[in-house]
Amino acid sequence: MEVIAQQIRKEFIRAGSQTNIFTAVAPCDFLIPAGQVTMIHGRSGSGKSTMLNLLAGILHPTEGKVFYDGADLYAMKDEELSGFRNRHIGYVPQGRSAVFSLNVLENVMLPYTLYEEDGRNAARRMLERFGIADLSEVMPDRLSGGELRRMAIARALVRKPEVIFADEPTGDLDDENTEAVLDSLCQLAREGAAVLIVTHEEDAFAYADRIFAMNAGTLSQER
Amino acid sequence: MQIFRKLPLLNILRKPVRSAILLCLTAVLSFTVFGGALMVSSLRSGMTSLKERLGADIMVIPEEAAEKKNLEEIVLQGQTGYFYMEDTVTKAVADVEGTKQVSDQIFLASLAASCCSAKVQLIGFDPETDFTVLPWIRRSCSGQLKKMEVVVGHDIVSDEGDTLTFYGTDCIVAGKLTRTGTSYDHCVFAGADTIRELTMSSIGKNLNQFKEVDPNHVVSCVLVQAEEGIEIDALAERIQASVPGVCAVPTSGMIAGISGNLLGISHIVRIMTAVILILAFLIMMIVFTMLINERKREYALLRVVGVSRVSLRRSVMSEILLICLAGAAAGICAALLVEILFAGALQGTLDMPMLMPGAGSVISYMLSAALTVVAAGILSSFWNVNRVSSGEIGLALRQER
Repeated sequence: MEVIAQQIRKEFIRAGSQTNIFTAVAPCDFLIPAGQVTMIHGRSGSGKSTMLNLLAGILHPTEGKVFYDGADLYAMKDEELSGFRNRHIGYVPQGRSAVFSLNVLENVMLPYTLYEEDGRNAARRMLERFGIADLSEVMPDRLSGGELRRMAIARALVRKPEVIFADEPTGDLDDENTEAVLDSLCQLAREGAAVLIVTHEEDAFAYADRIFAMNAGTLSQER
Repeated sequence: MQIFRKLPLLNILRKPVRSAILLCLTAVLSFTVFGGALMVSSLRSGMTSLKERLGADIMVIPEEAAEKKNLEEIVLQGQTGYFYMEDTVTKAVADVEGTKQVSDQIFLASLAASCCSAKVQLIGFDPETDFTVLPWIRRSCSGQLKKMEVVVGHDIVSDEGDTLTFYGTDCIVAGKLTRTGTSYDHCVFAGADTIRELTMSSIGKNLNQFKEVDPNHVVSCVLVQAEEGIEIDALAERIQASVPGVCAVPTSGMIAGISGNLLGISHIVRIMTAVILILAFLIMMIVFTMLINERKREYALLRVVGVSRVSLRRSVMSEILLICLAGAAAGICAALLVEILFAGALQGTLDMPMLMPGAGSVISYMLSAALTVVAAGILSSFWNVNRVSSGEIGLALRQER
């Protein structure tokens, strides 16, 4: 599946003011091709996470459109868009992300079970792949930052999505796990998925097919 | 069952401290609403029961008994006592214009001594003319009361077939009355001839304060039912003027004081319930706002993995609904328990008759209380649930990473 953004733009109104408009993402066209790993890097606050959210269908753009294989993402009704996200998009958010009343296995199974499917086996395989199979019954508040991150990645990849968005996926990981996560994302790209990673770690660039830099909301291609 | 559907329940079970606090809050609300309604209703039922038991429009008693307020002490406050007047009074009262029906009663109080099983008020009625006690007794005891047979009030520790001794004379318990919530629950009823026999025994044992009285020719009070359309107060005045040495007391006047107290207590309970309802609503609003804000990122994550706005709203609302229902149930049970265990103490403290309303009324109060708590829970959280389910997922995910 290919993701195309057309003249996408995002502006925010700063709190306490109606006139001070802040442009997080300047108008731009953007493509995430299937079968490739695309990376965006940039300073904190440069707009790279906003760009990722716009493309993932979880932040409405001020202007512009996002197409997934020709389907206009923001023209979909909420019910349809939610189902679409579940079936086609894997999203790894930045920071700690878990449903804290579910254990690790249930957290990873969650995308499967939403639509009456049993993802227990697929979830167990994912936990093994990221080295947290022994933590399957543990509650998320007992996990370290790195373990939580691996759980979030396992949850994002469990349904073998066609489009993957990862916001600083290796932030809390050691070298060994960073390699495992990036290898997994590359493998999914080789299997045909469109992968977009937002990162500020230059070591990760080696895994990218295309690299973009984000600076004050403006996107430029570096590779 | 899929995990998302179980999520409201899992959120409650796996976060016990948070759930317990919310449960306590909702339980306090339902306790107040249900307990308050039940208390006011019990007082009202007690009042109705008392009116029914009094049955008559006017009670005629000896003048000296009225001066000492003996009648109210016996009828309303459950104290024991007795007084007598000539039985000719009954006919004299019946002859007064405007009286439809009359029936006399004879009182005796037993003692907390070896001669008696217990210190209770004994009331003897005339089965031929009675129109107040008998219809009520027939509901609990079939057939005619024979001589030396008694029927005991609900709170007397004795059952059908038992023997009670008064002034050395044995009486057989022929039945036990249903609870009235009034002082009649501590009384023993019998035909007038039985009480006269017992009065004789008390005089014989030198234990009656009226030593010169011939029990066969005295009565304690005459109950009067007025003819349709007759002014009760005017009839009472006519009786008093026509029959010397008596005091005619309209029963509505006897219970006017209690009615006034009941009104006052009802107002206080209603005001307290309203204040607690408002306070609990505000606290619930704050707590649910905190709870929802604290989990904003979690909700955003659910949206990311494919939960729709409607499903998320339903899930959060289900959790609040479950908490409210559990809290309501706990509060209702606690209120019911308190009412059952401490009704006697409360009755004593308030000095008013109390009678638990019927099962239908209790169930309707339960449902009302549960509905109030659920409505308060939904109303206090609706805005926040709507806000969190409709907000931008991308922005919620960026908060408090």
